[in-house]
Amino acid sequence: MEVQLLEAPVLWEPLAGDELDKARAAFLGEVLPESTVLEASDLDDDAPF
Amino acid sequence: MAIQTTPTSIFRPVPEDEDISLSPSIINDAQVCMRLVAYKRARVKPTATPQNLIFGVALHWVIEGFLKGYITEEQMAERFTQKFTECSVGKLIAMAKTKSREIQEKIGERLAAGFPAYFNNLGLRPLIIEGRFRLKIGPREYINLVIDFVGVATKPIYDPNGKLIADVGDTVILDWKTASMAAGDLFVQCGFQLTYYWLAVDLLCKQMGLRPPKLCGYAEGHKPNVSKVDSSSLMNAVWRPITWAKRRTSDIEEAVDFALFVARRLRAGEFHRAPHMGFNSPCETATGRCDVAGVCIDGDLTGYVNTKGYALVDLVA
Repeated sequence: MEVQLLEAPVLWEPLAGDELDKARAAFLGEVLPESTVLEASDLDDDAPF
Repeated sequence: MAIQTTPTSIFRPVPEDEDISLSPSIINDAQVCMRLVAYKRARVKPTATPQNLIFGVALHWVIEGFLKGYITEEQMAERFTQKFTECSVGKLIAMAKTKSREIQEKIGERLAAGFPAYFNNLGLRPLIIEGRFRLKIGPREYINLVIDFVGVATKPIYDPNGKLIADVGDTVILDWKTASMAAGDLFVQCGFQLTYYWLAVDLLCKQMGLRPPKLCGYAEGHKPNVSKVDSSSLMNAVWRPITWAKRRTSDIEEAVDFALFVARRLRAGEFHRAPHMGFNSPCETATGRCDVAGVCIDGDLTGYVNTKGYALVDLVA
């Protein structure tokens, strides 16, 4: 049978600004200041906790 | 852990309706001997984490961090040490045969610090960094891959004789390797690992409308054999020039056929002690080629076929 590619990563694109900061913190295992991690739009009033 | 206490569950034949997922590492073991695959699956040897593995994980991590813009050139050595230490904590570590932990750390710091200049000189723009691939090679047979690097050449690449082998815009595949001995040219040309990478990237390029892979190779960080942390030979911990190679359709067909052969043996529960030797056997410990030569049974080419599965005693007695 013909070989099929079932999974492949998305092509890498350089990040900038907040996206880069968040990705860097996640990669390095660092905790960002709360103001950076949580923004108003991230908060869900219906969340159970 | 179930794997260690009930090894029979590992050596049972795999039902036809169950998936088999292979990795280049398993396939590489099978190229040495199917019995080696059996021993590794049974985890007959102690499960201590090899120090060389921790070294490789830490170095791959700082390289990924640098390529993605998370770690600066100045931070490379420090971040390597941090990761090397972090990965070692709480683990039973199998020491490397020739290098102490301190020496490995010094070598790693040098290779990490030297990587940015080495990479920038290659002239490659990253397309994929530590990317996971999954290939379907048979009805229920798969190969999982993690490819260190796929990039696009931003300047022409020449071979040692000055011949142009890749032009600007061509796609190339790299695997980061660290060892005290350089990969032989033949291994670079023929090893299945890069062949599977080539196949996966070729399929991705077709999907994405990119140029198909033009070259592949190992970017090798040399780990010199030194015994003291203040040895001047530590200066030899450098990144080697890449030996570039290509893969042809016949190479890919051979590699896929071999993977299917390995899958068939796993499905049948057959782990013959039949090293693929032409003129010598990798079974002798003196060759250093087989990790389980010391526990395996010498001189038995009849192989194990046991549809009921195996007990550890079957394998080590």
